[in-house]
Amino acid sequence: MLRLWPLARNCKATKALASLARCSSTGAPAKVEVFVDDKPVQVEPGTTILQACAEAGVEIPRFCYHERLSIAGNCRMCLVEVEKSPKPIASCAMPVMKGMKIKTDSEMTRKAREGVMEFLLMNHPLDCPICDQGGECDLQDQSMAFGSDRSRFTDMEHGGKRAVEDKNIGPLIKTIMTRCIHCTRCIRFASEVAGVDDLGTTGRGGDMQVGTYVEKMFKSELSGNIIDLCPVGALTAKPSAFTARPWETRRIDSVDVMDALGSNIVVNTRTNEVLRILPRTNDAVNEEWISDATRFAYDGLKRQRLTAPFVRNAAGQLEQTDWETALVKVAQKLVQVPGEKVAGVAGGLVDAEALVALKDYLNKLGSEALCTEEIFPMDGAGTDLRSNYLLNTGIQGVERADLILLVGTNPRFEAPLFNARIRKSWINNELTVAVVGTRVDLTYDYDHLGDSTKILADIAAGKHPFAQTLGKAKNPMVVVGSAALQRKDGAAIHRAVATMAQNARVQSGCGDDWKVLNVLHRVASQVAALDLGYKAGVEYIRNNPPSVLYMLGADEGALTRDQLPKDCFVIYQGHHGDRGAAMADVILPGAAYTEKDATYVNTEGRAQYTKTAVTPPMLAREDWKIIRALSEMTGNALPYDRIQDVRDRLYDVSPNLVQYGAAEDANYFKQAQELAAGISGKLEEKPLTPSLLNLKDFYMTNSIGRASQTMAKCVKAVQEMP
Amino acid sequence: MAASKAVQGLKHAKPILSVDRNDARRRVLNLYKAWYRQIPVICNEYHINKRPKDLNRYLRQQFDKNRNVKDLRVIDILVIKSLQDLHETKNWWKMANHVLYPLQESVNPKPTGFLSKFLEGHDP
Amino acid sequence: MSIYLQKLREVQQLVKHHGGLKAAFLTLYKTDGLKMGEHKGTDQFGNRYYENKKFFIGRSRWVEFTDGVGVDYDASMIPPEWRSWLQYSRDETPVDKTVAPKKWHGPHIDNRSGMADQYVPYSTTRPKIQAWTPPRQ
Repeated sequence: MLRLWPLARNCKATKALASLARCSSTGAPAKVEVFVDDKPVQVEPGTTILQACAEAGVEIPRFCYHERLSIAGNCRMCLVEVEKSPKPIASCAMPVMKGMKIKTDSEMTRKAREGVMEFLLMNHPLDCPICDQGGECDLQDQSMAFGSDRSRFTDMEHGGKRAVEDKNIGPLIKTIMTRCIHCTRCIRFASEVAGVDDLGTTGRGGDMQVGTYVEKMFKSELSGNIIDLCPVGALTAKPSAFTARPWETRRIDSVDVMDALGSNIVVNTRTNEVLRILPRTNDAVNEEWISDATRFAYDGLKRQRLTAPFVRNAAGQLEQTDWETALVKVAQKLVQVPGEKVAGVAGGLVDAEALVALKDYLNKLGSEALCTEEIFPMDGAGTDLRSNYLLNTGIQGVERADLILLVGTNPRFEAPLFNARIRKSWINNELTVAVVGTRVDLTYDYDHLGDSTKILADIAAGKHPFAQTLGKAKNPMVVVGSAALQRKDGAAIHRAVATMAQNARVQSGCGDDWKVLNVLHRVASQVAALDLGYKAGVEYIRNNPPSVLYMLGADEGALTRDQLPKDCFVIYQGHHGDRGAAMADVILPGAAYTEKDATYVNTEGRAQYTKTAVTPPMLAREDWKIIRALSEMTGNALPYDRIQDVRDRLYDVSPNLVQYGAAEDANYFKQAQELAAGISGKLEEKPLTPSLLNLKDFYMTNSIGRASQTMAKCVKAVQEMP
Repeated sequence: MAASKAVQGLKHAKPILSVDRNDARRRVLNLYKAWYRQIPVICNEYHINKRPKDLNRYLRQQFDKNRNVKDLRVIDILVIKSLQDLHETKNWWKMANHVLYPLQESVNPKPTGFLSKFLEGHDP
Repeated sequence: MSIYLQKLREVQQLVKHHGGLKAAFLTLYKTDGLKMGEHKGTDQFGNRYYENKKFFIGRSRWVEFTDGVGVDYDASMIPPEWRSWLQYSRDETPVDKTVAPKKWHGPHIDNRSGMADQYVPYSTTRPKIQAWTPPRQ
């Protein structure tokens, strides 16, 4: 399948080489011995000289080469001398051959690098002091290491240096195209990973330009990654332009909460302020990319914040107070009402520590009404069996799959990096993708089976032709979006999907270690909440109207004032003034994900933790501490004082919540299937439509995104720019 | 034989100033009197907004704190240190805050329980 | 002997100039000195300005603050036009040659530090965190 021409060509070349090498020997591919600076190394046939050198512990300087992109070989920085070759060789594009003698530090190599560097600097402005890349610039570093100590550039009077007009490619990426060295990393990223063929080159030689041909926005949900990829300062981040130098910032490893994938991030802070967010490499989750919402929504953490407790006064106005007043007010109310009249709702950005604290507290009061805002069908096995609500195959599992069926989901915007994984697999592994649901642009081709729920029933019953395809697949995956399960007939959809997954599992003979059923969640807190035993959806609270409602970061408007009894006392605890805070009687300011040590479990059941990067603003406190303090006020204190005690409690409830980094898998599909037989719900006629259809929907999906000005600019730009 | 020698060694600790209890007692009382007489002067000169009576009570407390000290050498050291302090105060080698600091009036005790810590600040 | 008599006469004149023994003692108490000079004028606050060229420059012009303030006076009570005469920036007093007020001149206010209406500088930097304000109902 010719899905991406430059890559396909490369793949074929390497595959042919590999198969050639395989043919010559029997069984396992024979390793090839090469000599890097006279040191013998055994490498796989088909690896490049650059990789062989890396294996020998020698790093070759490079600009255009990147492990996760196709090979371009146009920067020439990686030239090395190979014995018996008259000219230096671009090591990133040259496969090794038996007995090759590579000299990475010879006179010729050094001279070649120096020459390349001189050519690059000839047309590169010397504006490092005002360049945002300064300090983390590959060109800066490598010119220090490999460049010449003087320049022969004297053409000041005539042509001078090359100058290129800057391009406007949207509100996120600032371009200073004069600095571009034409490594084409951004172009390759756009066409290979992001799947948006917007970037390219025009002209040739000294007139070559990287750009979008006509002025347009780089409309991709992964666009920010080209900032990291750019080895020079041609592409920098617009929102954090000229704020700080990289060596001034403190970097704290953390986890993202904008979607349910839990991308690994590094939070850059200075003077107690988040300056930018960068990706952290984790091959199991996000490789080394992050989505734009993850990268740029951080300015939402500085706006619309709850910085002090509020109490509604006699006139019905929310009035700022101190902690003691607010807690006493809440405690008085909680003491007055019977325990079972207290209910709790957890929102999408809440950490596991706060969830367990709230659950323990309300249970102590005598209430069982603990719900999440996000709905998940509770019929049949419901949330009792973990395998029912996890992305069981795992994000990495996509790379082993050969068939994916997406049901009522748009992974491109619900989980951009999951979609990037599918695209990667679609390019490299001949993956087949089919979709049931509204037709959306997923950046790769797929078989659109329709958007009717009837198709689901047909596939589950084996009547649809796709059922055979699913049965024949060796490693099939069925992914149902959380948005599809929000419907009234969510239980029936879940049952249909689970049935077809189980059938496919049996028919394909993939064995017990391959799981087919996958649920793709949309919010970061959901899996942890379900693991802790929260009821999914607020139906229970609607049916049993409470006297006191404790909203823990519930901002999506699942419960409104109209659905509650008139005299219901609403407590809101969270970090942003949004829908939840507006309807509350008492507001307790909590901490956002960059401001606390917190545990988040992603959609595949992987527990990860954030670290405190900045302190919570003003009077805001860590969430579990607020609940702990409140519990002491009402006279039934929770038995934990330190975060370690809370984590011990998490371990008692569900050990996987504190086994950080590992995805605890679940495998009770058959049992779930049997329990699901009792579900009576019927599929509705309504077409399956994911919640996020277009790029403009992607930016503002939670309270942080809604408070962010950068995200607002993105929405505006997507709608207005061509 | 060896044991008796050791006991003797202890007996003949070299006195610092006082040779016996009466001598030490005299020194302590003299020191107390000296401080007592100096307090109104301190209040006046350092512009300390307190009645000498209150400071006298504080002085008494400080002496009472060491009521149980029986070792003559320790008493002598305490007396010498306090005399030095008095000397420095008299000669204006201090400022008002140095004089007031030992009273520890502006120092709030750190919270200990979870709730008091929570109400106090972020991470006390 | 005559020197002493002369001194005595001077003291007598001084006392007379200041309007009696009691007033002279009061002035001495307020200004730490008794000087005799030509009354050059009075400003809008009632401060009186004197000059006596017998003293050398730097001491030859002085002010006696208005009676109401007692010892609670300070230099910022002097309006700018008199201040410039007092400090030898100008030769003529504002009485001799009036200073045309500029349109940006405001009324003279003395230093209010330590008073209830003192000037307090405020921060002009934007706060790092923008807090939420509840909607009015």
